[in-house]
Amino acid sequence: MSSLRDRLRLHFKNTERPDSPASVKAEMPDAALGFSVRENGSGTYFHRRKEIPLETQIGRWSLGELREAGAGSDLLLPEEAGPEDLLFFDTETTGLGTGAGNLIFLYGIGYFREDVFVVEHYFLPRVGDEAALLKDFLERVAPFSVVVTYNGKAFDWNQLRTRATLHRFPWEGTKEHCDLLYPSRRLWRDFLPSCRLQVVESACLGLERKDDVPGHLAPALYFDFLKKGHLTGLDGVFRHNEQDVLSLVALFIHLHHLLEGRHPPGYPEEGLALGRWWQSRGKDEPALRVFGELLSGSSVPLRIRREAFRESARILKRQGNWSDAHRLWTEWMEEDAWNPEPCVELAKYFEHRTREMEPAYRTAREALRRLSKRRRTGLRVSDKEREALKHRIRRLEEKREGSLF
Amino acid sequence: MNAKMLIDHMKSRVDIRKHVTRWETVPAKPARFAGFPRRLHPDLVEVLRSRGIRELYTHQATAVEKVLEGNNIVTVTPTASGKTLCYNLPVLQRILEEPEARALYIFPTKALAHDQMAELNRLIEAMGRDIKGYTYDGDTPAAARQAIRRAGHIVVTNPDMLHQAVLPHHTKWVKLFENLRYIVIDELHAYRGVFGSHFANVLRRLKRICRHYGSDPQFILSSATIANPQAFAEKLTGSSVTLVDNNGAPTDEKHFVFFNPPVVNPALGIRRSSVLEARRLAEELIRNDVQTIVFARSRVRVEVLLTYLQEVLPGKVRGYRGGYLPTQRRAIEQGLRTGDVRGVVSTNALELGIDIGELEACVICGYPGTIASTWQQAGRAGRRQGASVTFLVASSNPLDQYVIEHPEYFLKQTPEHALVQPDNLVILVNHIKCAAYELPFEEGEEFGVATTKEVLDFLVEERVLHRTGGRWYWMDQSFPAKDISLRSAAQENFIVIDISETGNHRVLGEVDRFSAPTLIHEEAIYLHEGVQYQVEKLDYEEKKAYVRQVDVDYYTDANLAVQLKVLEVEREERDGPNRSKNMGEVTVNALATLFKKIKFNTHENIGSGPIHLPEEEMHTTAYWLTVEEAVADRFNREDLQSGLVGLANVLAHLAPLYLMCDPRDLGVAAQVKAVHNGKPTLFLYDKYPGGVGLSEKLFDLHKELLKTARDHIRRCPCEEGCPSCTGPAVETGSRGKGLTLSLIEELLDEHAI
Repeated sequence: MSSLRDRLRLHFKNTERPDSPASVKAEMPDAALGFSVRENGSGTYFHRRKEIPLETQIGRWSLGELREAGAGSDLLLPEEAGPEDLLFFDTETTGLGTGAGNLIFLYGIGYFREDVFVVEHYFLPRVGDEAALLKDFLERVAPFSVVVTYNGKAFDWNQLRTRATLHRFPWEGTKEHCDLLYPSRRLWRDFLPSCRLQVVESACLGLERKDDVPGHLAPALYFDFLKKGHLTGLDGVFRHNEQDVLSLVALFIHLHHLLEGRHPPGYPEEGLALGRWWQSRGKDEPALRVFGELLSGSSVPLRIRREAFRESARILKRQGNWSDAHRLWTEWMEEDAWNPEPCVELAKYFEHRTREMEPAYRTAREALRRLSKRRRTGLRVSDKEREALKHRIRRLEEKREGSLF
Repeated sequence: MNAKMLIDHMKSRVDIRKHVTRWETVPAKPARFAGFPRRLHPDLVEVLRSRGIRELYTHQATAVEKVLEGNNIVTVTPTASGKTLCYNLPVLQRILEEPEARALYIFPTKALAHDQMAELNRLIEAMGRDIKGYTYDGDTPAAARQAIRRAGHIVVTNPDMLHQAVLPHHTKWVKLFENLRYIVIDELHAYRGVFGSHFANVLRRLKRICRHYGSDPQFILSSATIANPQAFAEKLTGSSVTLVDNNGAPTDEKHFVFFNPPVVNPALGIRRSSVLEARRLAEELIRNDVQTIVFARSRVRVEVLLTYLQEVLPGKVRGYRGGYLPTQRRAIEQGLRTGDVRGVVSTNALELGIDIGELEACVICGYPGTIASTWQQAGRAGRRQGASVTFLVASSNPLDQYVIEHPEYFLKQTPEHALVQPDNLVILVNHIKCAAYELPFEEGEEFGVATTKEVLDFLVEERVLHRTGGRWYWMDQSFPAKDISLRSAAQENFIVIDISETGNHRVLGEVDRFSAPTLIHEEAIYLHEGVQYQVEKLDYEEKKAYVRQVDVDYYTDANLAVQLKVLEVEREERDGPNRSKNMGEVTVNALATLFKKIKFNTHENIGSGPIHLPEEEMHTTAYWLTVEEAVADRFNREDLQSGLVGLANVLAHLAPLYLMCDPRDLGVAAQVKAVHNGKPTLFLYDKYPGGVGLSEKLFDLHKELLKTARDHIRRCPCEEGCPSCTGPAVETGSRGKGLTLSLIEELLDEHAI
């Protein structure tokens, strides 16, 4: 009988991997890069604390501006909270899934204390000592009432909970969770190629990373560290994580200013998304203002202007501000020459509001003309829409005759 | 005419009688009752009484008592014997006594899970207690999942979901695992072969996680009749299990009829189509208002038979198979129970315990492959009151013909052993990876095998695990459960896609990796349920074959150069003067070289072409039969070749009879001069890397297998070999049948030549 080892090799040998057996690193590696060794009853781990001056610029924002941002717009955070209640949180893990085998090897947190911003790193140099790290880490983050992350709801914070549960620690991590991925998606999904943090940073925060170690390399570098024990090999990962934490702060500030209307939108799409968000929360005035800015801007493309026309006219209609709504529809009709929509809105307005059947009939006819034009050029036109319009025209014909004779 | 009268009438008719090789009548059996177990909760007693149940059947009472005493049990009962109470009663009892208690129900398919859930909910509702049961599968809405994880007393799921969704995310199921008291596994017999070997490892992982959370659940298992229920249950669960088989459910008189369609071409051994014969019988039954179920082996046959039978009774005959929508299925099941549906044509989908009430007649078109399956299907007709009949209609394939010509074998033989090989190295190692992902391995921990540590150390070398502080940790970016499918034999099957209709490409079927080069090479004629398709493109990288329906007068036959190399002889025994049996590890290399186009009827070779595909290599276990020199010397080389090939054909078809496996799980190779010992040798090997235990069993069966082969060939009415025995004469020559027989005779001869 061949040995088990031979049979294992026969079936599983991965030829891409080097042949040399991994050395088993039993003793604790040396701390470096400003880390110190911490020890408690459950084992040891590495920790470092860095104070970063508030004047530090992160892209277009300085850290200190968080003070002015206060606890953030109510669109970001429903509860009242001071800047010192915020815990900025980001992790590095050994894989992407959320299962029990995905280990967090680096926990990065950031928070305000008096006149500095503090970044702390909890790093796991020996996998078997996870309980020691977790115990201290959970204690450290307990006082904060709000956690700020990027995709942390689905991933980082969720994964922290998995780790805690695995070690049977009681879970007391129920906090207000401000996951900046969701507002970012809401504002930028339509014009950014993706809403990954690095993409958002460079497009919206004016931040360019230098010598960044991409996040997807982190697991391999960590595995390498476990094998060889050289902490310096992970320097890039620590810097990457620190940058992520700082980016979170800048993004928080940026979103706050945008949402409070204190910072003008940088892109027409962003303005549109912002206006819609306000509108959905009943903030009509800022919504109308940002739509108005889009409509008075010179280089705003028609597809954006069309939305701005539609949304602001909808607000005005709801408010009963008919004269402004009428003005907008008219402008929209002239400018958006292929679009039957403003014509229909005007027809409704004349028919039901001012009861002027002649202009109602004219605009309805114009809408039908535009529909037919679209259809002739091969654009899709729904039959339902056409039928509804024809029906309106027939009714208006009757009413018009009624008013003539 | 009621069923009893019709059965008697059919029995007396000459046109039916003359094709019947055996008309077996199983007499009625009265019910045997036992009182409610003393410990049974008054609420449960009341619910049972309110449903008209005054006593339990003996097996139900025993099952409940044994479980309440703390045993793991496996109940073995035929269809429709009230097995669900065997597990529902103790589970509900425990939850009544301990409201935090949890139970996990595992069913092999989603449909069964839903069916059982409905049944369970009716029981819970009648009790009026706050007990929550939920199904948890791929269809469960994300919003509902959290509540199920936290609050479900009874979670009903399937092995795949357990493997990929529940176990790797066990931290989200703390409540369940901390309080898990019972694991209920129904249809245990479904977990045999490769699927079962995977499942046994999933259960090892499940038990491991329970230990982590401090629970030690009992197993309540339920199986159809197989030869080895207790041993099988113990091997699957890795726990000792008590057998409960004192079935007390009554049955009325049952008729089991072996029906062989008439021979239409004696020279080629071709019989009238089993589909047409099944149709004739089913038509008569349905026309006479006997509620009938027809089983066919493939989806296409289901559809064909359905078309015929619907003409008899429009609107009252329905089809039932995978691919129908769940709501459609529920409606059909309901119609069967109420009697509105008078006939149903099904694949083996209805073989498992979905509740469709008790039918009066069953027509099985083609032997289902195993005795256990056949009894399961026949059990669909069989009532507590009123006679029932099952017709088994044989096709021309050798296994069918063997069974139909040897009804005594079928009736006397204990059903097959369910085989499972949880320690298959490939399967085991893959699940050790999953287990390590779920929880680190501790020093000294065993995962099914004593050599666990060696495997763990190997995985450290392979940089999948990381060893530190006396533990082994998962240290890889991947999610191991994702790459392991519990169901497919070889991990990567090829799928065959029909592109005949533009815009409506559909998957026809799957071909395992090792058969792909001969069956679906480009230009091959791929036969699927009697329809011809030509392979237009084989995307080897993506493992897809694109085929288009054609109508040609030839089939293709690929030359496969199979090289089988013995790596290691594990067992060797010369058990007769002229033969020896062996078992061991082998490497199988298969290289498809060229294919021939062969005309139907005349078997002329009308063209050929090369096949350019990479060689396949597999390490597995094999059983082989060696012909000793004395015998070999009595044949010339061609005759020996012919006899060996004939024997190979018979054994390849008959071996699955004993193994309860799919014929496709077994490979066969004949060598007139084997590489390792120079003697004529016949190999049968597991077609799964590492082997799943088929070869070991064949080694034990060796002599019985030869005798069975001899008897079968002798009784086959063909003249010079046919597809039902040694194979068509084109393969073995015109004397193939005779040569094969004399080879077997010599082998079985107990006196040295």
